[in-house]
Amino acid sequence: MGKQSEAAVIDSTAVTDSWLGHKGALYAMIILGLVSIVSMLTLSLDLRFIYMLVYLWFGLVYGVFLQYGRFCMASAVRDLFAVKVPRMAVGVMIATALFSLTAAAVTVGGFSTFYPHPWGWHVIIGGAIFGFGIIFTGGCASGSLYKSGEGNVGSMLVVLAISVSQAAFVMAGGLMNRLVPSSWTASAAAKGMPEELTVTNGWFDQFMAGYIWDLKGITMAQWLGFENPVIGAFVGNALLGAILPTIAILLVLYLFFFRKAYLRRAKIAHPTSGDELRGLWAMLTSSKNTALAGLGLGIFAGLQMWATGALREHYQIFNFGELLEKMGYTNGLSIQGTVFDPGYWYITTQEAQWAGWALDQVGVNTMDTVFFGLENGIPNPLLNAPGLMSIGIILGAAVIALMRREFKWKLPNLETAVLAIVGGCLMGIGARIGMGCNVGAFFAAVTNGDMTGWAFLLGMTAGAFVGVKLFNWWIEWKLAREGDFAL
Amino acid sequence: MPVLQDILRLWANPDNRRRRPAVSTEHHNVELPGLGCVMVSRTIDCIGEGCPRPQLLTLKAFNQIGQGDIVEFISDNPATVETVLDMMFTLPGSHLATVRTEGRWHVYLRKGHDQP
Repeated sequence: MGKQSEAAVIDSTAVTDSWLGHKGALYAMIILGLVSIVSMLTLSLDLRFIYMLVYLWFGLVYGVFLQYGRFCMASAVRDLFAVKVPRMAVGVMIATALFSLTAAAVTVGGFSTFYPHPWGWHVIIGGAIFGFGIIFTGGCASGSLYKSGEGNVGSMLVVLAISVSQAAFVMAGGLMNRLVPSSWTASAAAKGMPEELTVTNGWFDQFMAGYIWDLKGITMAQWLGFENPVIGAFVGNALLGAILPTIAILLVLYLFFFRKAYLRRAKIAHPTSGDELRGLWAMLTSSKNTALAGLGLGIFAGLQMWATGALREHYQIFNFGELLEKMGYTNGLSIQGTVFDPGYWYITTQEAQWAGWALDQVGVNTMDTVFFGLENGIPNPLLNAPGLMSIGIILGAAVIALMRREFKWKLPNLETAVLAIVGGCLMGIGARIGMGCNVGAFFAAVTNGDMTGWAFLLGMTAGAFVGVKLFNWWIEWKLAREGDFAL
Repeated sequence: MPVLQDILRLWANPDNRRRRPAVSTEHHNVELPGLGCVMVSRTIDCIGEGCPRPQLLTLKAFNQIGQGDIVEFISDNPATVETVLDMMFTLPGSHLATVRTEGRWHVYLRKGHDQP
């Protein structure tokens, strides 16, 4: 791995000596300039919009790191099974370990906005559907955002499909009602929810009110009963919950995907323990960019929690919805007066809100659902704080892609477009059942001591494994039909 | 407006439209930096393709060619290029050279792990 340095690399695009002196850098500066101007104009309307701009600018930073490290969970699990390349999986694992330390620091500081997800089989099932979908879209939820920023129109279709499919899924009633176990309906009805939510109508409503709400979420520190917050966060959540599982997975990756090739390359027939350690180190350092990106993401995700926590303290609020109400924007708030406002890195829920809002604009009642009406609301996309974070990720990725001369418009053909939409829909549905995507349900979860994240990864890996087999079969079939590779 | 011109040029340029990845078995010679003239026995054109198809096509090409044969891999997706280079570790193969032009990478790969 990382053999690039040995071979000659001729770069005819490097026309100027300065990496700032090309047209891409100019466009990058224009994007940054426009975002800065819009931010200032927004602040001049009302200083309290700073709460929303924190999301936007952190999104921008995430986008830069994601593109720099090519941080893609789809690539992590897919390359492992498809071509036996562990690089991205290794990078993601290192990133997980590093992020868990910054998350622990934030928890100790008292700024953590994280709540553990309820545990149940839905996590694995949702993960599997999500993992199956990412093979066909060529990117996970965060990967599709950064690839959109690289000019990949196919990835933009994926983002759109994730958005629309989630909104449709959380609203689906009719025939879907027949799939609801009667125990969910009974339990949902017993919750005494307001009439306008029609909580016993719709699969997802009853899934939430009749199933999820009866489950409990717990962090590793709480489960182990650590009373000292520092030990709980660093030993319970970070070390036992994230770092030890990460080390175990890295060892498995080394043994099954790296060791043989490494020993053959290094011409070692009888490896000593020193050779094995050097091999392990070679594997870890081969994904330097991804690991660095992971460290950056971890630090900034921690800083975002801290900044949002401090602003909540300052404005004496628990949720951005309260601030919106004070500023006079009451459209799209949930019946509790809240909007989706996780305070940390999240991807899919805000994308669902975009579609929910759009459907509302054309007259569909989306507010009779638990997901939109009770919990997340459907704010105007311009006032959707986490939504601006997603847009920030796209813009940040575009900025660094332009700087590195890697931005290129890529238009999908029909096959890619169909796969992007079908895969994106599966990702959207999987994300809702599993309560998040590779970021919200895995990355942000395991790094905060929430073990459901590992279950999501397990499901995602299983789904991706089946997806790779199917995709391989599809390519073989197409090649056979089209007569490529005919000798 | 340079931005507008760029957008027009984008839509006019067929390179930006994703097409079926072309795998060519026609042999041709290329001049590689530091290696001189080498013969390419497979060309995999993956312009506009995202993962995982380019990887799978490269894997397939490597299964069909002989030891020491050279594959030319063309892509406009930087993440794909990096993964294909990593694949050389396990296949095994070696990375001979990369020629980067505006918006695309031509990567030359040789089957087998021994350097020439």
